[in-house]
Amino acid sequence: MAKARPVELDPRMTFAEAASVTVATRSHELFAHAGHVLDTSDIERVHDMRVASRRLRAALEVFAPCFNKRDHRALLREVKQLAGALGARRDPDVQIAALEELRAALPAEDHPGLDLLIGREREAQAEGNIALREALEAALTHDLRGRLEELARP
Amino acid sequence: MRARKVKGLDPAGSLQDNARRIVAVRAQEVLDLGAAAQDPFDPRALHDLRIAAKRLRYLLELTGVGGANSVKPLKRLQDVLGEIHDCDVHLPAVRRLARESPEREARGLRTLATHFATRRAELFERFHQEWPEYERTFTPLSHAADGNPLEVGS
Repeated sequence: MAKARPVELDPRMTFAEAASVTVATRSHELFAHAGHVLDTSDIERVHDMRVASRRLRAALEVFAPCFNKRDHRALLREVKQLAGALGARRDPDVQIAALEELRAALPAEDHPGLDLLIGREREAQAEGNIALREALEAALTHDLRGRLEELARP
Repeated sequence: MRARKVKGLDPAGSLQDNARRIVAVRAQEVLDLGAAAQDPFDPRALHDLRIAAKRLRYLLELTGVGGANSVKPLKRLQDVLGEIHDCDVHLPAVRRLARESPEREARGLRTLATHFATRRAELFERFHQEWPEYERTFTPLSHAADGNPLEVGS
């Protein structure tokens, strides 16, 4: 998992100043992980972007009183939607890896049942990838990154 | 699960004062939900605790309140609750699929169901045994707003 970028916070900062710095850093981090997330052969990329989306969501929730209510509500909703799409892709990734590991430890007679389940998870992974592509396109169309930067501007 | 509202937050006030107020509420939330999650047959209560623990962890990472030592136990708690949740999600689906499938596949699915059930019982027991230690760790955080010497800043 990618480590979070350090946020230069000082306890003497105002809450609003800390909000600006944190949301700007976390937004940048989210989109820095967007490359190749649709590549199902490298499942860590989607994981890193999902974790970044959780960190940004947490920052938006913690610092909510510092932002314009209407803009904040809309952006939080869109970040949650993107996080949901990342989760829909990530969950089958994790399941497939766990089931394959378990399959290797079980006798051959048990394999058809696990193969059935792995097949279903692969279908969910493909569907999750379509949902993620759509969510990334929506983020681009609605300039989610630019609007987050605007929200974070002091 | 909706997070409890934190009163008295002030964007013009210091990061430290605001962060302490939020941490106190979120830590109390974890303590209350943890006390209510000691029944192994109440997956909803365990799920709510998992979400509250996640909120508190990201908050501590974000603000640095409590220092790095307070994040580690939360991560451990999240891991055990996360794995319990996975078992709670997958076990009913695997059992249903085993009932609906021909014997060739059903055998492996029954094995998998037994694996999930056994693992879930072990994990809950670990969580239940370790809860008093978690309580001792998180209680000082629930008093963060009182002005105890807690580290702020990352």
